[in-house]
Amino acid sequence: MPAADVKPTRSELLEIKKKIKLTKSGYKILKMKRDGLILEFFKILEQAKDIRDKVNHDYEEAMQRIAVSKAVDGAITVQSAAFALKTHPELSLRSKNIMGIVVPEIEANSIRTPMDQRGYGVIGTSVYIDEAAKAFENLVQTIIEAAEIETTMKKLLDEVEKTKRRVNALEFKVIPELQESEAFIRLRLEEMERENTFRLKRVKQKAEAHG
Amino acid sequence: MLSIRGSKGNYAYVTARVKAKKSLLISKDNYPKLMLMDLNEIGRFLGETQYQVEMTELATKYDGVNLIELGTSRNLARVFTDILNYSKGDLRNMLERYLMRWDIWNIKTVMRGKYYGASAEDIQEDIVAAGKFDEGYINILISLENVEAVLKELKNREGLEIPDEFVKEFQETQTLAPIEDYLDQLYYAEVLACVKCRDKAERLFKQFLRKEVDVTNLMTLLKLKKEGLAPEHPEKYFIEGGDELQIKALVDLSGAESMDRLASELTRYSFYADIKDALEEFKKTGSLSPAGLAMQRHLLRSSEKFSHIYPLSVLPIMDYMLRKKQEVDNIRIIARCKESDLAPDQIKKLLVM
Repeated sequence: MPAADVKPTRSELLEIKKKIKLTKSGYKILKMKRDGLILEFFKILEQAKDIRDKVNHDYEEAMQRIAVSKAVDGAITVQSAAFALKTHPELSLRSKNIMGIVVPEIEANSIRTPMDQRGYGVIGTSVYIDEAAKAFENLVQTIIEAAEIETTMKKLLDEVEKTKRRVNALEFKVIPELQESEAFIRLRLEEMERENTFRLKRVKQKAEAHG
Repeated sequence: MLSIRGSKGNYAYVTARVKAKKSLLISKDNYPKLMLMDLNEIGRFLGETQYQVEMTELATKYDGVNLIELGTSRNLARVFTDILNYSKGDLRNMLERYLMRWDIWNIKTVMRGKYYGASAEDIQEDIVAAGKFDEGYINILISLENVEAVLKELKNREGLEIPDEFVKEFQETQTLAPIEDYLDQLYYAEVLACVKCRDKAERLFKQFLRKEVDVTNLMTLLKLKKEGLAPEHPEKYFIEGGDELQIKALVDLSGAESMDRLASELTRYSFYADIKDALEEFKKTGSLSPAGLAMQRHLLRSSEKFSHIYPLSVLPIMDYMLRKKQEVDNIRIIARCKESDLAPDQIKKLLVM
């Protein structure tokens, strides 16, 4: 609110003083939240870096295993083995709270299956297909972990940005404006008081001159 | 050995034809050249060899590595069916039983495709009609509605009936694995029963088949151990009729505390020398692939040794079939590895020559 729009009254001054106090405490809390979120973000960032490396590693491993499997057993055999498994991994999504932010918690079921439950026969399936299947199971598991960590990191980053904007707005706009309004009201009140004193003096002078 | 159908078989004729076919196999010194070629060059090279017919036929529909893989596998199917068609008597019976592995393979593919709900075209692409079942019969299987209908149809085929308990188990658990394992066991039971051991060559053929059973059982054993699986009835994963590894020994070995313990138990078997390095590598990499390759090489060496002993027997025919299969595998390995940009050293390790 521009200072000029403020009514220069004592009650308004009291109101603004209250607002300044409240805004300053809010600013302090938001600043603490921002610092806390940044700390949390850096912790998650480390995990995100590690999981990203793991995704890359597992992806390369899986692609190499499937390439070897397709080479040795043939794409036909690999495709035929893939037909044998119809079940899909199930994901259950829950949420947890980090400093007021709701982040997802992903739990996956039936991703890693024992060799004897992959749908194809144990006797007739080659080790290459088994190893490729296992490598892809590991990759899917890692991708799910990465999805959880990266979503948390993204949400934290959004919240840090939002909090930073709020802190800056309070620090550079709301508080200075309120302080400006407070100063304006003070000034106006002082001026009004001076005018009043002067008016009283003039009245007194006139009364003495007539008297 | 006379060429009368219904008697022992036309060994002289078939072995002569197979010998001629053997001379068409790609020689060892061609593999390094193939490794230096790109996919188009490999395709062109194959188009100038015995794969010409299939490569030309399929070139309108496929290209690159898929053309190479399908062309070579269709050629393998044609060559094996040709050999089967001009064999007679007991020889034909033995070869028919030996090639039943492809029928089993096709049945498994059809069942998997039906189970998954794949289209008829997708299933047809995965078929290698190198056994007794021709493409017409396999297409009938593909056209059936579901797995149960395929199993019902197989009841009409002698020697391939699936017992009701497996059908019931499939209906309850909706998993094909027990049926597939049963089919693999059935294959070896059938082929071993078919070889009557009337002469030394047949005895050697049976011994070779028993070695193959040993290799399959050993790989199953290693897979179970690697996965840390301790099934209640491990015998259901093993095939009867092995040369050195009998079911009881395999069950005992599957109870070994660790892979190290299992490796030390295996030292008393003749194939240990072939698998020793691969087991050492397993300790470092955790991969059983080298063991699989080592055992494949072991089998090829055995078949080559046997094939020279009795030139007018089933042994050189079987040796040719193994070599032909290996050639197709090697071509595919080179092409697929080229497609995936795998290092030449890695390609060399995967080749079996």
